[in-house]
Order: sequence, then C-alpha cells, then structure tokens
Amino acid sequence: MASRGLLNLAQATEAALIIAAQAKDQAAFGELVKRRQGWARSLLRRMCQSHAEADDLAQDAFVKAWERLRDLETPAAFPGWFRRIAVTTFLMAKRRQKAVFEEIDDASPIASEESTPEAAAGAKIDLEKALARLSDAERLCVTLNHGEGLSHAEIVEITGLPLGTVKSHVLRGTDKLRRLLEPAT
Amino acid sequence: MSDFNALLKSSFAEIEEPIDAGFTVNVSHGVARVERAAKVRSWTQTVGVMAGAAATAWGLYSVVGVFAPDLIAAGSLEAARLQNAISNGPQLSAAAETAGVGLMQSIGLGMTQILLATGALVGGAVAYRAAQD
Repeated sequence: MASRGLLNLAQATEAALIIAAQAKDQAAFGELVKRRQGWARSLLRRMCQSHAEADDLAQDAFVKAWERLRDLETPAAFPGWFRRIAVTTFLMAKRRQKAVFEEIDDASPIASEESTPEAAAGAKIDLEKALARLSDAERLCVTLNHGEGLSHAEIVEITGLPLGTVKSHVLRGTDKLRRLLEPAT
Repeated sequence: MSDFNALLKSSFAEIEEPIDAGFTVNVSHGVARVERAAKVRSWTQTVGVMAGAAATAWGLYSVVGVFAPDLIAAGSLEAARLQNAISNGPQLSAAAETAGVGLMQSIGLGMTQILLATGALVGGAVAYRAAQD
C-alpha cells in the first residue's frame, strides 16, 4: 500500500481500484471514494431533505461498502451495488426516524414565471426545493426513476417496496413535481 | 406529461455534484476506525478463545487427575478379576462392586470440574460468537 505512489492511484482504473480495495487497500478505496463521492452524495441529497443528513448517510454508505466490498463479484457492478447500499442506508435511517410514509400534501407551485424557456430554467433550479416538498417515499422513487433512470421493477428490487406502491409513488411524486414546477395555466 | 418527464430527467442530470470539501478524508477516517474496531474484535476473539481453551484444559486436567487413579484401579481390578476368573473362578465380584461405588463417588467429586469445563467451553463459544458478530 505504502509503496504505491499517489500518481499510480490517480491513474488507476476504477476496476483496478476496486480490486485493490477488495484486498483491503485503504488508499485505493480512498481514491475510489474521491472519484465517486460526487455521484453518491448527489444521489443521497436528492433523497434527503438536508444536505448534512445526506452527507452523513453517504459516509455511512461508503463505510458499509468498505466492509462488504468482498461481496462485490465484478468491479463493473460497483455503481449498481453501491446504489443499493446507499438506498438501503437511506431507508434504514428513515425507518429509524419512522418517517418513510410521511406525506406532504403541500403542492402549491414554486415557480411563478410564465411557461417560457426561462421558466423551464427556473424549474431546473427549483428541482431540489420541489423534491424537498415530496414525501420521503415519493422522493426516493422519483429520484431513482427519473434521476437514476431505474425502471419500476429495479426500484422494487432495490427498495423492497411493492410494485404498485412504487408505481403510485412515482406517479404521484411526478405529478406533484409538475404542479410545483410548472406554473398554473 | 412526457415533455415534463424529459425536463425532469434533464433537470436531475444538471444538478451539480457537490465538491469533496473533506468528505473523502472523513470517509477514510471512518474506514480506519472500522479497521481498528475489527482488530480489537479479533484480539478479543483470540484472547477469549485462548482463555476458554486454557480453562478447558485445566478443567480436563482436574477431571483426569481425579478419575485417573480410580479408572486405572478399576481397570486393573477388572483385569485381575478376569485373570482370576480364568484361573480360579469368580471370587472377586464383591471387590469389583466396591470399585464401582468408588467410581461413582469420584464422578460426584469430579462434577465441579465437569461443570467448570462445560462453563469454559460455553463461555469460549459465546465469546467467539460475540467476536464474530
């Protein structure tokens, strides 16, 4: 570990870093975290209402990933494998807070502009604000569906929620976002 | 709705990823803590297993120390009785019964050591299981 230069780590492929980390190379895992932290924290920030909470969960998820890295069969599967850990970490935290099925029905529009390209740009900016007004379950399903591009079946597999519930959360969450982001016509 | 879905997807894609700002260092510290805890667990497990093994060995030694003379005596007596039965007929059955009573008394006396050894084994197993968890 100590013999490997920083330059080599920086140049190493993600697969090589994962293989080295599986052999308990903490420096290689550190480099992997460095490369993936943006994506992981961004994913969890969309699911959580608070950035601080999301970062704490992302840290927990990376530590769990370190502990379970030997279970990862192929380095190519790392993104999906880690996403599952992140989602599980989020769900466990929410279950501890007993807040998974908390509903927020306030869907008054955030954007006040007319339906113009500028309004669309405003909608992009306000997405995080709008997401914060969904329930935890809706935000999770919408983020995985629209943000991560997962199908309903894949969301079922990751979250353990029933298919009908996932479909309902995605539909209701998307509809709420539409009402929040698009000005009333 | 489909236009909005497309807008939503592009909006998700355009959310900027947060800068590191010490996050990687925090994770590295977390990983180091986990590794230290694993080492402590490993040491606890090793010490627990060694203590259990030592207690078991001591218990077995005590049991063997109590039983061995009686077992040897009973075995010798049985051998002598067998030899006598072959040569002179059954004369030593009363003596063999006496030896049997002595053996039961020894088992009674050795029960403490048996319980101690069992307790040590169970303790070792519990310590091992706890370390595994």
